[in-house]
Amino acid sequence: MKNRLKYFDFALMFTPIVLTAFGIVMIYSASMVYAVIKLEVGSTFFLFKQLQWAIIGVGAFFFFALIPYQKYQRIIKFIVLTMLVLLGSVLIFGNNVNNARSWFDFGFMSFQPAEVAKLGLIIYLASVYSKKLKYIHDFGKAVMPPLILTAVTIGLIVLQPDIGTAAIIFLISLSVIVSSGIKFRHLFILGALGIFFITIAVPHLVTDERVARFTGAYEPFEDPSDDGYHLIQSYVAIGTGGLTGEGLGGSVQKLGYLLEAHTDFIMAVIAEELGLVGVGITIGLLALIVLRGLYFAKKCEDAFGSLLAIGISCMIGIQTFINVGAVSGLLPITGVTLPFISYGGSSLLILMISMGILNNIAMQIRKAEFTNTKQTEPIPQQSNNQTVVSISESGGKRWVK
Amino acid sequence: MKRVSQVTVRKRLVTVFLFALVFFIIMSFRLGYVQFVIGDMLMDKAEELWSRDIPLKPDRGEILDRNGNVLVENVSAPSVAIVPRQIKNPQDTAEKLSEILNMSVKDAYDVLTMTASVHIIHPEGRKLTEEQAIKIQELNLEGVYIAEDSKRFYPHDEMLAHVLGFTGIDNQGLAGIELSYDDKLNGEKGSLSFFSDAKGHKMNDMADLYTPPKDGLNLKLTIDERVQTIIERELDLAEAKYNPDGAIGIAMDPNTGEILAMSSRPNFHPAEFQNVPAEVYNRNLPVWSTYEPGSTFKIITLAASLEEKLIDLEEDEFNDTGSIEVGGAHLHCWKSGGHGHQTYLEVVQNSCNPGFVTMGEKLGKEKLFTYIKNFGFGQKTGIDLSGEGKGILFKEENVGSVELATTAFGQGVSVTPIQQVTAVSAAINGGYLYQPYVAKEWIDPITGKVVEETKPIMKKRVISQETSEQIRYALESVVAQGTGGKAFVDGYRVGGKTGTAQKVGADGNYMSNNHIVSFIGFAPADDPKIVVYLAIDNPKNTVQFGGVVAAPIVGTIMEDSLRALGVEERENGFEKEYNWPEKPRVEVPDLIGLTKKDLQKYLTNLSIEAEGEGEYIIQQAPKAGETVEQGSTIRIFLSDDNSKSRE
Repeated sequence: MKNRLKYFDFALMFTPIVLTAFGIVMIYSASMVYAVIKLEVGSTFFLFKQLQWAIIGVGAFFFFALIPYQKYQRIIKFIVLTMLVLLGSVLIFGNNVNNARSWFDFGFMSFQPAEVAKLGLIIYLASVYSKKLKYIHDFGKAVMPPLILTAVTIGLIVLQPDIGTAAIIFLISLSVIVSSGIKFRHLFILGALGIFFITIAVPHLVTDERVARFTGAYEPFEDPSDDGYHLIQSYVAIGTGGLTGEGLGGSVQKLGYLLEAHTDFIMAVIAEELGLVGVGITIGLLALIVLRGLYFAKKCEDAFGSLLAIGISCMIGIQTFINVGAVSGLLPITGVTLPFISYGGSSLLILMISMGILNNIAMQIRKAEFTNTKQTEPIPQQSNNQTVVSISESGGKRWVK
Repeated sequence: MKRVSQVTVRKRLVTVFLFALVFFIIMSFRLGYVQFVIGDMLMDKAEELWSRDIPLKPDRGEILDRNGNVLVENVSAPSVAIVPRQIKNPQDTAEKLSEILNMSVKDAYDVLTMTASVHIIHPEGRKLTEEQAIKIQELNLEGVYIAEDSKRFYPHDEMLAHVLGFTGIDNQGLAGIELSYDDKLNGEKGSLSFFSDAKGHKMNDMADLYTPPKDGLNLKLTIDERVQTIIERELDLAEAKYNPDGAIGIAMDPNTGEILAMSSRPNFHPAEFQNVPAEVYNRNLPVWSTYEPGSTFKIITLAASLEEKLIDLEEDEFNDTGSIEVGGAHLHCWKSGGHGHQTYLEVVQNSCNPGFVTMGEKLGKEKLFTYIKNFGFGQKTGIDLSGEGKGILFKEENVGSVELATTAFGQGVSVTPIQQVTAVSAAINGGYLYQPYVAKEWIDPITGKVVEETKPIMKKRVISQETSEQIRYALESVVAQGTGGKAFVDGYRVGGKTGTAQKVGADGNYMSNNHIVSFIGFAPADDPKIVVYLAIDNPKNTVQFGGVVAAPIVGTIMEDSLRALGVEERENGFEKEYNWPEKPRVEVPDLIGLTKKDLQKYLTNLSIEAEGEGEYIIQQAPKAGETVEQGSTIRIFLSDDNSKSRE
């Protein structure tokens, strides 16, 4: 086992763990008052729950990092089936929270199948398109069939309804599909089809609540007492923070003004307590994971691994963007959590599994590189390091192996 | 493991990579934008959002007279506050409340059912009387509370109303001193702020912020309550006696510019200012009104002439024929036929217009107008009361010989009463023109210490000490021997000048039989302590002369005020050489040769002191033909032998 981890990528290995640990601290800070006043439980209620999940998550992280990613391709049918069964059954047996059936509640833990679907669909699409890469230009044969399954998955999530997650899964799928190298012509056809379906679907999806979320995002002060409320509270939190923030635990907005302070709006609490510095480091670390993931995707000789890395990186990137966008008023509030940081067990678990997979891809690449360079010439090792340095810089942190 | 050529995948990857990078940059910029560009605005909003303020009202400063007597103070005047959510039976509560508060049941019901956490019934529920408050408390209605509040109380009622001004329902100054010094009197609101969460729960880990209210400072005025009372009394008497259109009284300390008293009629009660027309409470006539001063203005002409050494009161003489020709126009003296041959002292005593015209002519327009301006006419005195007028002077370039002549005796100029008082003060105090003021000291209500003190502001030296002495001498003689005789006060050397000014009507011409009669006086003449100005606008049922109407009132004000101020009576004053001209002197009759019985008819206005024994008066002192004051004593010598008397 020691041997297997020998080629681990430092950035991809530790950044998720650092972010998770940071997330636990912020969740504690953001939730302690809420837990006591609103839920009337101990102030450490959310802290310990998240801590449990984090321990499970880290275990899963190392477990999946050791499993060669190629194996998923062989059990792809099982993965897809499990995913669909979970999504289907949650519609029937799931817990009804706020008029949405998105959760299984097992008492000691709750579980969100849509999170599984994110990773499941990435593996599925990566697997299918890597196989069809040779004839990817054949629309009917290569492009269309996987899209049907994608549509079904998204459809099941829309039915819960959980538009936010559905949108993310749609975007993740799109990023995998685009990266798979399909013809732009086909992409346009798909786009047209997509618009067609959306126009059919929209009248059914538009509710006053959703419209309000949009207007809330763009005109928060029009109706500050109601729909613009969350965003104004978020603005206030961010604005209060300034450059270095009020200090850890110093947030006032978390005291009931910011709803969902420990989940969707945790970035606002970070901004208020740690200022732009804290926000910058958080986003920087997330960017490091995403860009490093994409870097390995490019390096990967194997199409499946490459697409898998793209999907996972994009999943994290897209979630980050939608969450930060909502918190800062750039996008409507959709209830998307911030990867690794926000409270949420199943979400964290899936993210850690994803990171395990990504690490495995990275390790295989590095191992191949290492052995290659060792065989041919010993010097390129250094040039390799230089590349790492230059790319890592864009993530905001100087990095040397 | 299948190795595929992934050229397209890699190309696309670069795109995805760049997109990801761009999105992260967008995020960072957006967050930075929210944090710094809208940061300040949001901070304010945040503070508002978190803190709950319980406002604490400061006490408004009291207003005192120069000796610390209260002129304006605060009394409790509670308000009714309601909490609509706590009211179970609005109809019943509305009926009960409306009865006490004098409002309709419907209005009360509307208020009681409104959506508000706390509401103060306005205006019916503000400034309640004690009885109202007690009644409401006795009802013990749910959701109805009595909130502490205060209102201004005026122990002297109408006294000094125009100067004090008044306050509105929120105790904010609306007029007079209450307005001009509103900031200092008002103090600063305090608050008890505690930070709370969204539900209104108090946040215990955040410190409560107690900002104590800063009570307003107490204001000590230059006004002397005793002098003010005297002037108010005299104005009331004058109003009753003459039924005038208006009346103005000012008393000032000529050596500092401190206003000792100021009043005018018509006046009002500051607590009920709404009951009089706005022009009554808005116009503080002593500083606002402008009119022709008439003869009181001659003091300025006199001062200028003396300072320029153009006349000598005793040596130079003037012959008044009843009128004087200036630029083809005949300007008449107020006394038809004229005063005849006079010294310039007599010109002043007689207030002889042609005499002053010659003074004006000797000065010339430039000098006369320079003095007029130096004495402060044509500009505001700068008194710390609002609504001060400037008056109007002829433009110097438009002044011809006629304008010069009329200005010299106080016509064709328009001045305010306060300008006259400050100018005359300067003329008699040694030549120092002071800026008049009423706010003397600001006192911390808790420690009683003086926080701020107004020092007299000497604006200009206008004439010399010698000139000032001569003016005092001349004006004292006006009272002792001239037109101002009725202002004479035994024991106090009063100096002064009468004034009778015609009013300009709406048509721009002088109105007939409608004058502002005035008198400006000072005392004691050797060291003036007080200057009093009094003007009665259009007194009825009397001869409209300053000397007749205004002078005696000023005399009374002077005497009472000087005694109140504790000014010592002058015993060896030079005025003793003069008699009271109003009491006719009697000629001593020839008593010699008369019998004692014959004396009866002379006893009415003379007293007799007899020496010796006998039936016949043989000697008398003073001698027959001399004039003595009424009531003087005639000494007689008696003898039985009548023949001795004709020795």
